[in-house]
Amino acid sequence: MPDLRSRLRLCHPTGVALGAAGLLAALVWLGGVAMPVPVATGGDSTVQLRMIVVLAGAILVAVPMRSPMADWEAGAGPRARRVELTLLAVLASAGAVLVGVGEALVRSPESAASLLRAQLIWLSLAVVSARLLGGWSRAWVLPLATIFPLTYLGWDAAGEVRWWNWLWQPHTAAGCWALAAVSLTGAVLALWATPWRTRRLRGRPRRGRGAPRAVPARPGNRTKEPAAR
Amino acid sequence: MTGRILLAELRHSPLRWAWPVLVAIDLFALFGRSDHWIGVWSQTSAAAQVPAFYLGPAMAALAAWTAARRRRENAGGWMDAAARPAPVMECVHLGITLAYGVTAYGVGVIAAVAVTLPGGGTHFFWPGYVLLGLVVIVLCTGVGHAVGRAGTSLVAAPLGTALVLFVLFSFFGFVPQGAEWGLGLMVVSGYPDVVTAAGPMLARSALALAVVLVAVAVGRRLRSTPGRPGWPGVPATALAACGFLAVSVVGFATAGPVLQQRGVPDEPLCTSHEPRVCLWPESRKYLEEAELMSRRVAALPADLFTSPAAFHETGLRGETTMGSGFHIREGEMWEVATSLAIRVQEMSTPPYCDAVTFDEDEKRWAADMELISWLTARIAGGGKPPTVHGGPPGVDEKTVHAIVAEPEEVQAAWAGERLATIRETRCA
Repeated sequence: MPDLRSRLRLCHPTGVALGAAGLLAALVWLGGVAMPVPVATGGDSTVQLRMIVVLAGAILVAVPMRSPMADWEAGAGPRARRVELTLLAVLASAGAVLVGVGEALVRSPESAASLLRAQLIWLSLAVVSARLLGGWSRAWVLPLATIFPLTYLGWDAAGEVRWWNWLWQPHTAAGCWALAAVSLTGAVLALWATPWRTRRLRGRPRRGRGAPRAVPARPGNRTKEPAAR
Repeated sequence: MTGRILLAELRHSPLRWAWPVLVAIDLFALFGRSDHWIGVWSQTSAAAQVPAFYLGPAMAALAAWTAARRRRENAGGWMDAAARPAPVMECVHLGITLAYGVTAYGVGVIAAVAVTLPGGGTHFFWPGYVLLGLVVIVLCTGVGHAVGRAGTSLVAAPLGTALVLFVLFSFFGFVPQGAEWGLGLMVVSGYPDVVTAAGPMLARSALALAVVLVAVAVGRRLRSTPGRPGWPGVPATALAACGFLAVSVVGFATAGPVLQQRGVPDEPLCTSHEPRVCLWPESRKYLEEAELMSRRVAALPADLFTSPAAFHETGLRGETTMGSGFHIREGEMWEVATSLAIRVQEMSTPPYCDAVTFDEDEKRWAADMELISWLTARIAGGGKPPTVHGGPPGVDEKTVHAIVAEPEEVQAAWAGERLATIRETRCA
């Protein structure tokens, strides 16, 4: 616990708390406001502000996750790793509780369910993005990029909402829950696939072949691999 | 030397990874929607500008990201080490970011022009809307750069600028219609009867330029202040840039609406056949269909219907009131046929008056609507396309449209009945 507290103190705690409070206020008071957006074809050409708020909240998790000492932590032991995962779990559940309870109280449990689904997808995408693109500071890339297909391409020519449009599909839509499950799996995989694990995976076949390592590079010796003979 | 720095920054900018995605978004936004704009220059220009709604906030996020480079892990400040004045390096940095955004947008513009070129005719390219999109992208990039430089969080800066701009544009970005309020930075369609006004466009361009200058000035100070001993001096450039920004904001606020009524053309494009259907030269791809419609209007039973001598597309005669001409909305000719039908109906029936009884009023209303529905189907030359929703209220459109297939005498008798109902309505 003291580990977690000192970790939390590192990363903009006031800013994150203020941001979260602002987002919660926007969700509660302005969540139902419809924002007009251009759409490719038919359907509802608006997005509700609460969807954008939930997206912002999902990415906001990445702000405290990004440690200013990330470079050192890359070489840290299991204790730092445990703190990182605990912090993520705490932040994710705090976000889910805020969104779920706020939305269910102000609007309806159904709406809360679909918002929680959206939050799950975006948070998972943020984790995947962080792992794929190299660090928590890049966690915003994939979730933000989903705005374009979701708003612009989310409806077909007949004005029906597409199966993957998790903003507008009802909370019972199986397709979107499948998407949520897939992205959650992706996130778990991304968290599991730490550099030391992927290195071990990549290293195994090489060791199996028993090929000796190449001559270690020395300054002035710029040939990377010995030429195949 | 600066040229080589430019090239190096071009190669190092993280935007090189984002550029293909930006181009993809632009092309998807352009070609993912209906293709009615292809062949109409005014609409092409507006369509090429629509992706700016997405590219703008995206560029803001990316500019905030790249501007915060010094704070990022593993991204050493090689630019800080350059033996160039700080403002030059700041210009290089922001300039390359802008270059990536503007070229991504440019690819979409070139694609839009390329597909319209074969059928678009001589009224070449409308630069107004494309410039408007460019202004949005430059503005957003400048804002993103300034926020990225000033902000302390690598995640919150791109996230915040992108989402705030997205929400702002969505609520207020578009050219306001009617009583609502808007910044007038984007359009969704470009009808040939309105053009961008020079003054407001200039004000918008000045605003974008001012934001970029402020971003450079702010960024320069943030770069050079730490580590320099003593008072760094009066930030003259930053103050000047902020002053220019204030002036341009005032100019923007007082410049008036960005769209204005277009001047009356010398020679509208008219059908050869009477009654003439006249179009803006930009709408030439609809001329063939208009020709057919004009023939179908002429073929209406002459003893029952009188047609006006000419129909005009909105704005062709310099009028500003609604309903004085037809709009070709999203290339939908069915709606043009409806407008023509209403005009023919107005010419063929006595002017409206309050009926004596409520019953007669109801009957006349029903006959009116049925006639308009029938006339529309006649003039459009067949049934309603599936893309059109709605129609005259209270009309069983299937039955009415089936009558169009009947022999001419049956149709004339059917229409005559309705006309009689309308004409025999007693006025109070």
